[in-house]
Amino acid sequence: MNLNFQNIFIVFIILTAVSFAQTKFSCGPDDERNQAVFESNAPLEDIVGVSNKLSADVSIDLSDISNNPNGYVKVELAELKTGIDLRDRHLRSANWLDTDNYPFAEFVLTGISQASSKVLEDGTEVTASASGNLSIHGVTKKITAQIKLTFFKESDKTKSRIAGNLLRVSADFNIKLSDYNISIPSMVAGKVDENIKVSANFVASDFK
Amino acid sequence: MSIKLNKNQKKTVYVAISLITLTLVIWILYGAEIFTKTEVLVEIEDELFGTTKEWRKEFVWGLDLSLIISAITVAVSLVVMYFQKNKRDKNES
Repeated sequence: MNLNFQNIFIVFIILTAVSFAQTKFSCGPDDERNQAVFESNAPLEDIVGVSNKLSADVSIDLSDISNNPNGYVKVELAELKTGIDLRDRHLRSANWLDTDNYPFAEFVLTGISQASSKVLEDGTEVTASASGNLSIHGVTKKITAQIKLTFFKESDKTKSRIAGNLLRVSADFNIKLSDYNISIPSMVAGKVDENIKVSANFVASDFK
Repeated sequence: MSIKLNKNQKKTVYVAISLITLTLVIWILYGAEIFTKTEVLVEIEDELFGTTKEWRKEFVWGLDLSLIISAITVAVSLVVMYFQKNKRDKNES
């Protein structure tokens, strides 16, 4: 019985230590400077879709970014703008993204590897690979994204923009539309590429 | 087989060709885009947020617009030339 209590206590101490090592950075969809960009380069047309409704929660150990990071990034697909209103409406329709039923693209972070530096220092960019699960159109797939992380310690300069210590995240990866059960209608064949470049760019704060 | 055009019909052909050429020149001046756009994507550099993209209201003349105007020009010219031909025929008789 004593041994059991001891084990539970040790696990509790370890979990507490791990959770204290993590710093939680958040940003909401109201800050429209955060964004996700979807890019299709087809033979007939290049299409760029931008959604400025992005929210994120990232918990990371600033002294070792590969140490059990977790978090999520959520993008409102109904807010995707391609520069042509009619095309935006088509994109939201049931034939494409079906945003009535699947309004968000969600990425759940499960790990960070191959970091150029384990430590996030003030103003220094760190490149790494982030792995996690991406859900679009009701389908979830494991993906790996190339990310750039920059930590900004709160200063007069950053405080004038956003309160708290800040984490800037830039992520780039590619997806295949067919992997997410999105088929290209024959009438737009040649205008939309099967492979879509996705990038997300946001600044999150640890301010509570 | 040759088509004989009267003076007025020739004028109409010249006007139509000029209009079509003008639409193509405008299209090239706007950057020779295939599709007409009412918004363009611009990149914004920010010290904190890095490089972000934003849609700005701006009109870009596309090849589709040039083709529509050209098709309308050809159709209107043919109708006008038809009536001009009738006048010529009447004058000749």
